[in-house]
Amino acid sequence: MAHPVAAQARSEIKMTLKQGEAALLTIVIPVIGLLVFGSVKLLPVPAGVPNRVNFVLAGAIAFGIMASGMVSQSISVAFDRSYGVLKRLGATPLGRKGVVMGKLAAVAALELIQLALLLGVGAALGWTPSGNPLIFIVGWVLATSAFTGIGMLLGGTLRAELVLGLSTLLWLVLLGVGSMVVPLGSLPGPVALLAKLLPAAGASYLILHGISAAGAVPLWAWIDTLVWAVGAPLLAIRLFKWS
Amino acid sequence: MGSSTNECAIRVDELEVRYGAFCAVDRLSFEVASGEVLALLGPNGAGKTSTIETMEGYIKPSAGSVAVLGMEPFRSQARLSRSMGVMLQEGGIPPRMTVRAALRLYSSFYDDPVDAGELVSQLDLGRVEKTMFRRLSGGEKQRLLLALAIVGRPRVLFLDEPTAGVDPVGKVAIRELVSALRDDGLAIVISGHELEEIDRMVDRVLIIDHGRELAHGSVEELKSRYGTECVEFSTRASLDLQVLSTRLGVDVEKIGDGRYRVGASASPALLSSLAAALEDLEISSIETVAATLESIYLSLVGGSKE
Repeated sequence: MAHPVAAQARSEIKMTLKQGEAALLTIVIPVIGLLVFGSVKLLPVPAGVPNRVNFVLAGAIAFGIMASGMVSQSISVAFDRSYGVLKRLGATPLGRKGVVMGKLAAVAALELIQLALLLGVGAALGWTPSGNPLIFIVGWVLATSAFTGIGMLLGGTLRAELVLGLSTLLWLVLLGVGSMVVPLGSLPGPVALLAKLLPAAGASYLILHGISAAGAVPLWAWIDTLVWAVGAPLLAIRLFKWS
Repeated sequence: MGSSTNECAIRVDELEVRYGAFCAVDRLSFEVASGEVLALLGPNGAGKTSTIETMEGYIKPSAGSVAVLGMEPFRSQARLSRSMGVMLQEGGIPPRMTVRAALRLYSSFYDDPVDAGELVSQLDLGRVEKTMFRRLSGGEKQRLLLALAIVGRPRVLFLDEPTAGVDPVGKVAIRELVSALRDDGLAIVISGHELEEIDRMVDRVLIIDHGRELAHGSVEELKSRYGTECVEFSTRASLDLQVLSTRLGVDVEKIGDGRYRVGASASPALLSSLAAALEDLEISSIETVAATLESIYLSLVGGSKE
């Protein structure tokens, strides 16, 4: 017998990769984004970052985490709820904890696939690794916790149709102000200030400093990411509805 | 699967389920033994789902107690789930998951699952093994859900509308499977609205409405306690039902083209009066019709609505 959580995670990964739109969102778009924005001089590069690819690669990794943890997960959880999938699985030996653990394991596995692809493409485009690996690992874990927490919160509390629209809207907003393609310094002052309170910019900064020399990590990036990484899952646990 | 029979597998004692001020289940008590099939019947909103979901561990009782295989389901759902099979009305399978993937996934949750191939052939799912759940017919979906409910060799089984949307051949397959599972010692609770089918599958019936028990007993007991046989006849002649009803002293209703039902049991006095009343008419058939689970259900639930 395979471990129920491993079996559930494997099933989740297969379903995600088989669903064209989910694979497009979590794998294809981050890679294409890296290829396009890493090759063409369309956007400014923040001061202190050695080259364009280093900045775009960090943005693509953060984008991938956001797509897998928040967008894909919130939609998957919301529709699973509406179809009674979570309820049915809760009455198997997998149990409710196992359902959540399976989903988290699937998100982590998908992110590792993304990461391997993005680092490979980044290296081919001229990425020069010069950051702090420890910051990268901590940032990657915190970002995964924050975005997956938001995904579970949205998917576990709202109607599926609403989640579909809302998570896509959030994805676009955070893509715009999350320092993934446009550096915070290039945004108007009030927008940049607001962006520092949202989950994406802090995570992007930590990942950027993890893979590239970019000066010292600003304190706000740590606080912002930590608050979302702890707060969103706690809120999801508190408010989650199974059916 | 379990082999011991006649042990009490499910015990529900003075169960109450409340949602705020609304009482969905009101002091309901019953037991289900191993090797027994109980039908839980009632109109929509009667409290069936709340009762079943309490036994499945989804809902915490507001008062009273529920024990399934000696466990308190709400507290021990994870442990109980190893010995419990569940078939939900809403399905609970992702629309894009194939039959094969669903069987493989659910098999992986249990220590000693039933061979998936055996279930596929038993429930005639071979043709659709690679088909996604959303593309299955209603009957195929029900058969897959039943397969997933029994893949872990449960000792108790909860089936919500197992034959809804199933074709006649599929109904026979499900009926035979339920019978085999009962013979294997499973305690089975079925709910649904297909009363003719349920009549053929169950040992005992519990009819509830407004969360309360209306009737409880074996199908035969209910038929002898609540069922009244009636007389049906056919004639091509045109009848004045009001005049006939007054003459016989019982209601006569038209139930089809040229077919009528006399709402009383077939006593010699009634048959004699009926023969006298119809002596000038050409009667093509006259027969006594035994009570059915459906007629009992309708008389009880219809009465409770008034």
